[in-house]
Amino acid sequence: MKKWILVHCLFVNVLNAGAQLYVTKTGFTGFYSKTPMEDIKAENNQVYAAVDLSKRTIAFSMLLKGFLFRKELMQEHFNENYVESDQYPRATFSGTFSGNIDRVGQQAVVIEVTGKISLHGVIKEFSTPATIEIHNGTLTGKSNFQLIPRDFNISIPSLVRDKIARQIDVVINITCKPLK
Amino acid sequence: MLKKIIIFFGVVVLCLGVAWYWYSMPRRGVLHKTAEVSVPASELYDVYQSDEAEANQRFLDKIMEVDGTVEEIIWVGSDVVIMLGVGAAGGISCRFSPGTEMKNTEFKKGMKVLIKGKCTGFNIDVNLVDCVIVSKQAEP
Repeated sequence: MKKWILVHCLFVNVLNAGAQLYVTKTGFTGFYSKTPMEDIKAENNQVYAAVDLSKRTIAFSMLLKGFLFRKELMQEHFNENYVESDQYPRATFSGTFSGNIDRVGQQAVVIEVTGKISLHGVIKEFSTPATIEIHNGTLTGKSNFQLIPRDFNISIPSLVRDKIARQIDVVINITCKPLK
Repeated sequence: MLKKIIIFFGVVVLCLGVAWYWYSMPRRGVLHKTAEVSVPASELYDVYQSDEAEANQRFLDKIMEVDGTVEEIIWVGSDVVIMLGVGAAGGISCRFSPGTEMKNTEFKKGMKVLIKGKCTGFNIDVNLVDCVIVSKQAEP
């Protein structure tokens, strides 16, 4: 509970940080694992994100139980055995970004996002390229990167190790409106 | 002896078939499941807002029917998220997954609806997934 209050405060700090603030409650995060034995995908469309252009801060928060799988058993195993979502219900990211955002609004701008991911009780420094674009008052942000489950103390049983990729492809896609 | 071998392999094949069936079973939505909890949107939000741990005991992973007023309708790819307002900063975020008939149904802001879905917890809003519409007001 204390951890959640801390994360909530970080998110709210970003929300309160400045005037050029864009938010969404329906961001997208998907993760994909491809092996010769099986393709796995899970997607979450209830991702909360806040981007402050003036402070150059960015924050994400999502419920792990919000990731939906095609197979019922996979979803159960993901929540109960891998990310233990009853104990660690959220994945969060809080950080900053750098890049030439002066031209954002005219074209998609490449930025470098740096901060901390919290997942499965592990907080890890993280950095990835991303793009942001503003069109008709809507900010669109996209990023693709890879995460390694063992970096977050997520152990994959040897029985299913060949079915789950060592590196998981993650796709982020947010469409944010200015905070009113 | 041959008969025993045939029975043995028959049992093995049957067990593998059952295991494969369970492993491959698609995610079941809530459409044909009975709701375990029925609660107004404002009460659901208030319980989570005041004590998340207690709210999780009552609602987390439960299939529930929630009645409330449509505040916002947001398309996200092939999914739809309907926000039920509760007169606070947060609300109830109801995610309708692909395969529903949402595209053929018109919703308007202010419409009163009864939604069935599975509770996944609290993250500024109370989140529901695999939602279906149980009933809706004809016009707001």
